[in-house]
Amino acid sequence: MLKLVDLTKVYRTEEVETTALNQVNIHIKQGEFVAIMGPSGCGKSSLLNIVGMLDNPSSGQYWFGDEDVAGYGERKLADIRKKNIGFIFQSFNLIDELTVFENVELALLYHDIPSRERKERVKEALAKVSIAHRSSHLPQQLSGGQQQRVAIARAVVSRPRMLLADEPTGNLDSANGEEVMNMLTDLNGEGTTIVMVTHSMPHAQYARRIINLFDGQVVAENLRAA
Amino acid sequence: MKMLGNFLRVAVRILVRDRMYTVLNVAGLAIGIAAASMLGLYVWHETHYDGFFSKADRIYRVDKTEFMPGREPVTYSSTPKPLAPLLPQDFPEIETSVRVHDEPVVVARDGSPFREHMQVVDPDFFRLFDLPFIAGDPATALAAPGTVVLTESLARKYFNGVDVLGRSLTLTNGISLTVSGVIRDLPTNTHLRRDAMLTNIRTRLGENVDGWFARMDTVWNSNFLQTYILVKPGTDPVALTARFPAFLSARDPNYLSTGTNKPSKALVLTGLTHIHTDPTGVPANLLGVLHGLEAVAAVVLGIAVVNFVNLSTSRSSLRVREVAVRKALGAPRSMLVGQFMVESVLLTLVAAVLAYVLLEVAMPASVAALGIRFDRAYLYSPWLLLAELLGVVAVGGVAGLYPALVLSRPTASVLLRGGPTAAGGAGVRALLVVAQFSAAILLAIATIVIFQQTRYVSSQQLGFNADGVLLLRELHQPEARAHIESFRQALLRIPGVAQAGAAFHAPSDGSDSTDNYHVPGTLDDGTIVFRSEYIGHDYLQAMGVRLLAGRLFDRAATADALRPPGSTVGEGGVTVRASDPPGRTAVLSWRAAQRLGFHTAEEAVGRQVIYDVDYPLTIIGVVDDVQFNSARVALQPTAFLLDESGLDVMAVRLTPAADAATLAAIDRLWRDSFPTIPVNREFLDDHVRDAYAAELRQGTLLAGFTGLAILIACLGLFGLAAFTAQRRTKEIGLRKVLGAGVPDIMRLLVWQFSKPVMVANLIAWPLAWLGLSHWLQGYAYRIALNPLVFALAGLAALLIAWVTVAGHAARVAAAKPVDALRYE
Ligand SMILES: Nc1ncnc2c1ncn2[C@@H]1O[C@H](COP(=O)(O)OP(=O)(O)O)[C@@H](O)[C@H]1O
Ligand SMILES: [Mg+2]
Repeated sequence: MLKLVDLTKVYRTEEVETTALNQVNIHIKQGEFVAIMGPSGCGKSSLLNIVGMLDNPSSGQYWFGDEDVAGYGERKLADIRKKNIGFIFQSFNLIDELTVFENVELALLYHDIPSRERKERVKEALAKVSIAHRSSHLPQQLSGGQQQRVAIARAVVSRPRMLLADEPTGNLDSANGEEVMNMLTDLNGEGTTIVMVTHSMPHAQYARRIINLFDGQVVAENLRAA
Repeated sequence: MKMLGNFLRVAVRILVRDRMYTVLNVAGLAIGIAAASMLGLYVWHETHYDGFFSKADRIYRVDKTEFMPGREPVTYSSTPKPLAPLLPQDFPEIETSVRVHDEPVVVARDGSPFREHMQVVDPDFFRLFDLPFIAGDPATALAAPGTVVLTESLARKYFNGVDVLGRSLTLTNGISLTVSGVIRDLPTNTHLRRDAMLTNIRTRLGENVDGWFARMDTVWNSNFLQTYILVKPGTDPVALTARFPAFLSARDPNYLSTGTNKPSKALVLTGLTHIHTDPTGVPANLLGVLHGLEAVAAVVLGIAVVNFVNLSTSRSSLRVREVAVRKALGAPRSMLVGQFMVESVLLTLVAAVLAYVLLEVAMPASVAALGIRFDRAYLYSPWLLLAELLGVVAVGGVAGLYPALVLSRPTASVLLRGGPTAAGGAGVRALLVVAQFSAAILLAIATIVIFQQTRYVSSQQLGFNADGVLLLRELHQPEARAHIESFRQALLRIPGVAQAGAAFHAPSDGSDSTDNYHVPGTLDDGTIVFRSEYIGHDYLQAMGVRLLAGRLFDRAATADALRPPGSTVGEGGVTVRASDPPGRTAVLSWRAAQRLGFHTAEEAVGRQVIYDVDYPLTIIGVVDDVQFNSARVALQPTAFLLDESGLDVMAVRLTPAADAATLAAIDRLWRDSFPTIPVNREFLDDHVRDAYAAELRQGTLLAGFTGLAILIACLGLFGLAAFTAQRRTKEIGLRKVLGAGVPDIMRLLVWQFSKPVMVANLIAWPLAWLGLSHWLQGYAYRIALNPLVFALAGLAALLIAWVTVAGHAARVAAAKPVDALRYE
């Protein structure tokens, strides 16, 4: 599904130059569930952002299917992203001014889907994460766990082939965290490729493969026995 | 004091950090203040004419209102010559009176004649108008005839200096005047002629004037000079005016009291300081225009202030976190309010200084460009500085107060969570943007309509072809009077001249001679009033007036023949009055023919019409209606009468092939024919347009300030767009993560700013429609308001708004979403 070849990301600010990713090579197959671990600042988010086409690498190749998208501009990336990738963030990133329903619907607004079908799919997605009864609430009126469920519904409603999750359980208590991990496992079971960054070893255990990063480099890969 | 220093340091740091915001905010406000000050100064200048004379509050001009049956009363500033000396005699409260008569004279310098204005005045002139003398004594300078008082400029023009007492100024007719005084050039804000010389009323200026002028001493029905009075302190002008009718019936032998359905008159007083803003005999409403300009100034300033408040408050809402931290650290509310105020006033102060610089640069330039009178000294008036300073405190205070109060109220914990303020201000800001654009669109529509109307009135309804007609004036001068026909013949021989014909007046000269007419056998109730235009044989032909039926005046036709000047025996031996037309025929305008009851032009030809009471004229032709006035007044029915005794202006129609050489040949012919009379020529279309100079000027002024208003509104919109882009960065990033493409985001942002502009249209349209319909009522000939103009102005505003915000929108839309998500 995707292949990173000698991928490097360097951030330049006025005074310092930070190499967040250094010659990373990773291959992820269709339908995999990959967890990325590592200490704070080792480059996990940078990696996920590039994989999610929210940012460009400084050098190296990023093969998505049979295209090297490393040098693509925002317009082209937006197009590929829209069709293939869903996101879940640690801080949920719901829009405060929109209701639960509207937040989820937002993910379909840019997909050219007739409004009736759109509404159906939003309802379906909300039901799937058991939050349908709160569909007209605003995000602040929900607990963290509920908000993350909305975020998951939003990420999957457009039926992406790949789901990227940056510390999805980081802000949740263990019960809620567990629930989110179960949902991700279910989605992976339905065929969605999942790449997840996490600090929690137990949660990483839901994945089939764990990639360890240190100082921008892949230091270990562990396959969990099936 | 220590706190203020801290505030200032922080303020300067923040202003420097948010450079773009600072520049936008300061520039918008500075332009607004400069524009409003400019209009304000102009209005102030216009409304403070003649106030500098020390006795201004005791000086009045005596004006005369004429009541003619069948017409609206008209007030003129011209009065008869015998009036003034009698006023102090009959009214003890009148200290003295002064007559001012403007007589054109010609002065030679280096062999070329120059036309100058000689103000022929009573000796007390300087007692009323205490103009500062550079040389001479104001009490005696005009005491005796044969002396002249010059302005500084005129002294330099003719003598290259101001130390010229006792020198003599010689007119081209040989008359010599002794310089008895030199005064400073008059300031711009006086209604008195600024370029005139002054001489005693008994000075002899040449045989063509003197005899007539002396005869006028006892003539009450010839009104041609201005009469000013100086009243004793405490005199009530209303009570004084009330005693004028009794005075007139005692003194004026022709006087008939009002209300008799016969021509009558009344004397009225115009206070010296009101003469400029309240002109007599002109339908133009200067005060109305000035109030309009005041409103425009207020709107422009209002837009700028709204901008300032909008940008300030929006920026401050990005500082929620800073305020929260300060609060958490224990800053009292008053200190936070103080901090915002200091920042705001500092910014306003910078804007005011910039505005002042702008004003110094732009005002003289625009004054020159518009050809308006303005005194530069006004720019340095302490009042202006004081007003600007007050404005700084007021605007800065208001703009600072709002964010200060809103942000300093909630507790730190509320603010740290993002605060309730963020969403609240947006509604107010949208409303203010709506208000700004409503005003800008309103001004834009008004500008377009005023230009349309001005073009319409200056090009339509003339009834003659003004293109390619040259006017040569001053043929009534004694040197020229007898040679008009030979001069005309010579003109026709110049290649490029197609036609030439003379008349008493040209269109738009402001002449206003009317008489009663009626058809024989009908009741002469004095209600049919036509304009009487006295013209020479070839005038209508030269003007290109369209003939509808019959013929024009014709040298070959005996009926048009004139009785000799001065003769009181008409055709067939009947006795006629000196005031009767010398001919027996008339050409009527179509409107006049209709007014007499004829249904077609042909029907009128050959019929008779009675001039005044009993002087019959034969209608020989009917022509198209001709606009001899400005289009502010309706086309008057007109009778063209043949009279070759008072021709003054020659209309010369040029062929399309005429060029500079033609004009040079005409000038040469004039100089050869009349060497003592300066060439005075202009194109008719320019002359007609001059009649609308005021409107054109207003239009230009309005266009300029509309442009400024739109510019300022856009500066604000630009700032707001930048702010919104920044505020919504996270949301936009999320939308992109969720699949929104660049065009989607563009649409989102552009739409956000289109909505207020569209609402502004809905507000501006009806207001503009009402206001402009009202304005157009003032014109007898007016355009219909075109909805397309409204739509166009609205669309233009929308487009400008789009262009303004598109840059930000594009930048945000094209940014990598990761940048947006990191922004927290
Ligand atoms: N936009 C950026 N500009 C500059 N430096 C950055 C930027 N994003 C991340 N970094 C730096 O890159 C390194 C990796 O960051 P990140 O990928 O966020 O790590 P992690 O998610 O593993 O904590 C860090 O040292 C961080 O400071
Ligand atoms: Mg991270």
